[in-house]
Amino acid sequence: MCEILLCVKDMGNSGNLAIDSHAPKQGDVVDVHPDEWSWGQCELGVVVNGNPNGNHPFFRVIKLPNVSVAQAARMTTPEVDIDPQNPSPYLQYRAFFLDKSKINGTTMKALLDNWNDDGRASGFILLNYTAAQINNIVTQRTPILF
Amino acid sequence: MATISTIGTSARNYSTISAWLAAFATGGWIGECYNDSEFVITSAIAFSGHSTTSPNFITLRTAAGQGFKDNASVQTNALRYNASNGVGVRNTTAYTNVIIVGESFVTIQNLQIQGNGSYAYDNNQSASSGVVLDSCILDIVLTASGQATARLRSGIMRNCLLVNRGNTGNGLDFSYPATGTVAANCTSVRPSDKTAANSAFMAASANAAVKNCAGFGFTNFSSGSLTGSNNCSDQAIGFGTSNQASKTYANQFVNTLNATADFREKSGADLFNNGFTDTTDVPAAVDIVGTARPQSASWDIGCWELIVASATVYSSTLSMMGVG
Repeated sequence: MCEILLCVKDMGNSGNLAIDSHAPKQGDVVDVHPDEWSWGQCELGVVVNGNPNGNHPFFRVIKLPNVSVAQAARMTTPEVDIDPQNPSPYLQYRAFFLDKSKINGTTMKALLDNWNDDGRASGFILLNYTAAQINNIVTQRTPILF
Repeated sequence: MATISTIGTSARNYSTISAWLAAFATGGWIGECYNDSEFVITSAIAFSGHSTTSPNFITLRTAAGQGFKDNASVQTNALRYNASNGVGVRNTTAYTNVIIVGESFVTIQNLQIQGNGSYAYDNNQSASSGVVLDSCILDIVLTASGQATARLRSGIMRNCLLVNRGNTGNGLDFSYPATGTVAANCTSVRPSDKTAANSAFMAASANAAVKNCAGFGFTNFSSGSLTGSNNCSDQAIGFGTSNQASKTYANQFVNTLNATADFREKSGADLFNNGFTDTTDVPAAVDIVGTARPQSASWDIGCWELIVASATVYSSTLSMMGVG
């Protein structure tokens, strides 16, 4: 029922926490779309002439026919301030992420293999996991102290 | 060398603006949106987390022929948010910003941006530099007096139309802006069948300038400390010179009603010819759809430059008749 664009690398690499904290990190879901979404070439890992990102090894397209858009949508919620009177300069790109360390290497091996496949041999992967299975590997981002 | 990527849902490089932003690379990162479909989003598009500098800039614009200004009928299309006229970005989640710019050297051009209950465009960093919003339509329905169509804390907003379609809230909010923050040739309005309230332009502190701008449908043109000149409003204007104050709203635009709004300048408007030449803030000397400024003796106030009927045909006819 939904398809997601997953970031599998930490994208912030400036060394400046005020900048890097806002960048996508490993496990962050960039986008959630309904079935049959018309993904872009770069999202699918196609090397586009002139684009310095090559096959975009930091992206994965994952089709989840048993997870609804609404169920996955919370994954795109940015981190918000716990105390708006004392706003954080380090709010993170997403409040929740798919936690690679929680992926069961036996029951969710296909996801783990795809996650580790920077060659992106297939443009996308279809996984028949349930929403509960996906939920089990979701972790809330720990706020960055300031 | 800058990387130019296509964005859209018809086998483009990236299908969404968020995906394109997440893939940022240095050397200049330019995204060109295609009007394959309306960009419907459910959470804000945030420009942040990138090591932007002058050479490592980010520009989001429409591809050639894809923006509302490129529409073949641009001179007769109603000037309001309409994704069928060109690329539109719409956030369907209430009380969520549409576009947030929290870093330097970000330029956004030619987009239509629509939201509900929070900023359509939120430039929220007074420490940023090189931030530009150019020739965009911002459309929002606001429900609280503290809200605004857009926030500008640094950089420049030029040739933009800001429409607040709620019964409360402000137009452009300069919230503690950086020195040199400017709105130039912008039109900030609330439809005339909505309840007039709040301010077309507001500032919580000095530093910002409003030049050649129009503000209609509010109970104040401005609040707080602003500088500038050559502005036009249906209200009093408390700063600057060469203003057109207390003018009739209905005389300025083609249609000021919410459902049928068309904020193109109309013939006979007080906006006409009452601006000043401002190639500092609008170096291309054009309006929101690319019409050269001026079309008559002086620049018009607001985002639209009215093309006046030429007398050429008339004089040619007279010449053919042996007159003159």
